[in-house]
Parts: sequence; C-alpha cells; structure tokens
Amino acid sequence: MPLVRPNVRMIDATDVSAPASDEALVSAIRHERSEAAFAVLYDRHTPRAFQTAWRIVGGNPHEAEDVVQEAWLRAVSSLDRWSRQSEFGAWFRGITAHVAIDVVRKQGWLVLDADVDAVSDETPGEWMDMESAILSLAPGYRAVLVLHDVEGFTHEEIAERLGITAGTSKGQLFKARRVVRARLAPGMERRAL
Amino acid sequence: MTEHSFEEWTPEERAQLADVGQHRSPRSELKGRTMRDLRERGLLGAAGSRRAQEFSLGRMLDGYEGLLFNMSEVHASPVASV
Repeated sequence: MPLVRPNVRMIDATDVSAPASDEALVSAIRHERSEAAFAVLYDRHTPRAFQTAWRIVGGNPHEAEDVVQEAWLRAVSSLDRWSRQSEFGAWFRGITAHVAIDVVRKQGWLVLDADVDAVSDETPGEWMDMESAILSLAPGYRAVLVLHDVEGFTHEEIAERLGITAGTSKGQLFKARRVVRARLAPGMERRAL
Repeated sequence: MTEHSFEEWTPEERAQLADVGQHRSPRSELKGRTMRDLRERGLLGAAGSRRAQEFSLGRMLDGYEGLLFNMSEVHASPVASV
C-alpha cells in the first residue's frame, strides 16, 4: 500500500484553476520528487535567475544557462535549507549569483583590486547604452555593480559572496558607476553629473 | 556614511539598469536538460521515489538478516557433515 502524506498536496501540471504556491511546489518536490511541481517552479523562477546569471557572466548566454542548471541542482539538493520566511525566488537567485560568481572566479577574471582597470576593453570615445556599458566593465567590478544596483544585495552580502570586505565592495561600486556613467550617451552623462 | 552617499543613479538610469538583460531568456531545451540531470541524480522522478522506498530501514535489515542466514548455512554445512 503506498504511503500517503496528508499534508502534501499532489501537484497536477494540467490544473490551471489555482496556481500552486512555491511552498506547495517545494513540498511536492521534496516528498514526492514531483516532476510536475518542478516544471512549474522552473517556469516561474528560471527567467529572472537567467537574467541574473547573464549579467554576472558578462552576457554569455551559454555560460548563463550552465549557471542556471547548476543552480537548480544545488537548490533542489538543498530545499530543506530554504526558509519559508524568505521568498523562494530571492533564495534561488542568491544561489544563482553564487554559482555565477564561482564561474567567473574559476576563469580567473574576478579580480577585485584597486590597481585593476575597471574597464575590460578600451574603446575610448565610444558612447554606449546602459547594457553595453555594464558588460564592458571588468568582471569583478561588473559583479559588484550588478549585485548591488540591479539585484539589490547589500555590501555585506556582496563581501561575503566575493570574499572581500564591505569597504572594498563600496569602493568598487563607486568606480564601476563612474565608468558606466562616462560611457553612457552624452546627454545622459550630463544629467547624471 | 550610508550607501546612498555614493553617486546615485538618476531615475532614468535606474529604469535602464532594471532593464539590463530583461529581454534575455534561456533556450527551451535547458528545462529538459536540467530535469534529466535531476532525474539522474535521484532528485526528481518516480525512479528516485521507488529507490527510496526499496531502501527503507526495515527492508535493509531484512536483507542483511537474510544474507547472514545464508552465509551461516553455507559455512555450517561442511562442519555438520563431518
């Protein structure tokens, strides 16, 4: 006789009457290894996580996909560590950011040093849009700017993830913002300064 | 000194920042690839559940007991026949 847990709601992927909560989906994955529940959770949180990965790895879509895949593996392996007080999407994006930082670090690009130029490729005099300006930053600077200004991490959280001090994170953010501003279209730069 | 004492973005820049990467999305095959990987690791799918049920403590003890019994039978027979 199969074991039935009354507190676990069975997830039916075809049921669109009421969207299942993240908590119900996580419970179904943990206790039943439900593929239907994972499919819903994946569709709900992958797009945003992919964007996080894409920004940190510098706009490489294939690397960003690898990051998201690894992030799901880590997340599903440690679902018991997700605290229901926090939003699942934010928890998962934290894991994704962590994996993306590891990827950049392994490639030897994550250098956070005051002597390192904040710009990865020199194209003086070329105006850029915001996306190109951020992607043109050296990986370490880009990571700090993306994590703080786009993803909303605090300097303390960034420091912990990157293995630097909060003061270094603030300093790198300051430099990264200046470089990005200097590369934005002239009209926007004048408004910003 | 607060974090906001650094050069802040203008509202227009903030909107542009939030838009960075927004139109990017992974290829559809990533979902299948990820689910296959999770299945292979026993984290997803019926195979994982079955394996977990098969390897319950009771079944493992029964199996171990049976193994010990068989071993004792094998080694006991020649002694008994002498």
